[in-house]
Amino acid sequence: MSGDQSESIDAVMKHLDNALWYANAMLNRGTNEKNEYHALTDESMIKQIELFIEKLQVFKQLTSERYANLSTYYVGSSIEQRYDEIFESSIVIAEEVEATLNKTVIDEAEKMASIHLIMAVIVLIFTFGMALRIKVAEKLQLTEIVARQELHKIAVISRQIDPLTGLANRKAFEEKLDYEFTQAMHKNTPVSLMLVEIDSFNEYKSHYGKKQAEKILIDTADVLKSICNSSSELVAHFGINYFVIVPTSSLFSRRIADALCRAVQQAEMSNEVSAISNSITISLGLVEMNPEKGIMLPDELMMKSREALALAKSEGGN
Amino acid sequence: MVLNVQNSSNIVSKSLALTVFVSLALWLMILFNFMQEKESAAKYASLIDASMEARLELAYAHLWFRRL
Repeated sequence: MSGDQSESIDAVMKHLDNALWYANAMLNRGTNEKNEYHALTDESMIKQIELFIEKLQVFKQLTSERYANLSTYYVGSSIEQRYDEIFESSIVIAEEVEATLNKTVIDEAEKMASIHLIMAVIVLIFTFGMALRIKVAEKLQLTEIVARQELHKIAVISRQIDPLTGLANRKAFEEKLDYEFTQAMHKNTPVSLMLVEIDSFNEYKSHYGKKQAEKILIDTADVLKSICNSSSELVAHFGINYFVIVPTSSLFSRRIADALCRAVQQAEMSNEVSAISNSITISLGLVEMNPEKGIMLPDELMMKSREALALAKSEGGN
Repeated sequence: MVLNVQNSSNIVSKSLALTVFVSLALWLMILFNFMQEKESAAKYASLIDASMEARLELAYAHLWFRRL
């Protein structure tokens, strides 16, 4: 046996040992200078590798036997046939395992791609949904702010409106009188005030009842509004049967007073209990303050208008 | 009409908070997925390498023996 032959058989055994090492690394992990090898987890592939190891061991044994009997070797012997058969089947097993692993890698990659796609779709849908939600909420917020402002305006107005007659209430009147007084003092112009009372209202209410009395108040308010329709004039429901107009034009105040009395009478609101007329009539107290002649404060103006009204009533009303 | 500006402000802030939370969760999921993929690739690459090496070593052994 030559030195070459012993070297060759050593190389053969070394390769077989290497093959065995890789197969074992696939079962139990292993690290060499080339790489770190992970262990298989798939049961069917583990069984295939175990079979591969068994076949390798048999192949190694057959290789030793063939090497020992090289002198009596002949082509087509049963050992050679078994040797080739074991080699081919081992190669087939290794190829099958490799193909299965390649397929697994492709399957895993496809699975990951599907997961990425699903996640991308979720992110897109979610982002779109959230953007829409925020947009709607912002719109709603804006609508609510506008509606609040509207409500606030309505509330401010309603605080100054008499709910029965729809005229300005006492508070609004007082504010207007203060304003007009300030303007009059500032511009040195006269300001006048007209106090209106429905004649025999208490008797009317006792006779016709509360509902009818309220109707008369509303009708009288409508008549006053129709006469004093200037934007600068304010007609207010001042007390139970009292109305007040501020500022009346100083030049035409008497004419307005006459027009009011006529309009109320012409409205033909029946009043059987009145000693003055058989329809509703009104009495007026008119007072004017001219800063050039003398200053009257708003309270004094009110007092003077009451006195004027009392005088008108004492003279028979209407 | 029930007015509640506070409510719609809450919707906006809640939506933003939810967006941030879900975005973070999705980023974490993507990161986890990426790590899994990397680990899986390393595992299968080494296994394919090992099976190929085993087959090659067997083929070398067979060829060396033919030389004898």
